[in-house]
Amino acid sequence: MESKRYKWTRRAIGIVSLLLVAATVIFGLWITPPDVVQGQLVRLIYVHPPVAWVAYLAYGITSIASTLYLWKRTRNMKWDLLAASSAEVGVIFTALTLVTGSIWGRPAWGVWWTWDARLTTTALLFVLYLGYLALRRVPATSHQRAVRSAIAGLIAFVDVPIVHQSVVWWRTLHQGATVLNPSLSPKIHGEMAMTLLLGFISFTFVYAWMLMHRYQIAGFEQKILDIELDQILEERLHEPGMESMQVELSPDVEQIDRHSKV
Amino acid sequence: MNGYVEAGYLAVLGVLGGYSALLLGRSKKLKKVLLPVQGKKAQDESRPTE
Repeated sequence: MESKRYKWTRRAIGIVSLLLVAATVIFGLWITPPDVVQGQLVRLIYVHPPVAWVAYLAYGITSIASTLYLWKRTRNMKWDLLAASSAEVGVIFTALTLVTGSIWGRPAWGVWWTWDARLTTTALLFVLYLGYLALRRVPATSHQRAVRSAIAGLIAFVDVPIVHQSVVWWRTLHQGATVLNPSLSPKIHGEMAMTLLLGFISFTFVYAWMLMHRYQIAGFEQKILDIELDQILEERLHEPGMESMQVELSPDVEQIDRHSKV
Repeated sequence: MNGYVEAGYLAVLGVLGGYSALLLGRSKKLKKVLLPVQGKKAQDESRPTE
């Protein structure tokens, strides 16, 4: 089913993720000092930008995997499964970005939500990838599903640079980028910068662990689908009067089988 | 602190923890479904054909 090495790597990533997240929480809540302007609210900065970064990363992986599936020389069902797995994890992190942003916005701006450029484009990103996941549930052959969703995934990714640049392109209520700003000079220092960096690293590890698990599940689901398809075809071909269909069906069966190989 | 900070951390840890548990549960369940099927398939393949 899966190699021992893969299993151990995943377990190690899981343990490292847990330790890193625990360290982020301890540093974020108790060790770093309150900010001069934001006070205690600054503590949300150690989780909000890191979860947003992971969402970008997840959709980036979805786009790369989608491109590799669409390119005939590298076409393989594993790219489609990886793209879908990463998109699902990305949706979880986008939802967290919206929730933590909203929790920060209430005391800082006085509202839970406002139609600000950054917030609106992030909400759009969330809806686009929810659409991507919904599209994958539309009945089709594995190949049709993979092509459709790869195109949708690539179109949806256009919104990622728009989200990131929204605070530069439009006058927004949302603050500008703290680390990846146009001048590339981080506006955070010392313990606070270290904790923010720790947040970025720990949530990236969490993403890697989740992606490995989700990808394995996607592989299992595909195998079950293949087995079910095999059983249905077997039953149909053994029904009375279907013997003559065996020769005609064979090429299609082979094609479905080839496309669904993981 | 001020309630908002705790709520933010709780949301992140709760959602990530919940999703992780969901992934582990689903993975375990599918493994259980697949193992006997794959064992049977391997048995069928190793059986000599007439």
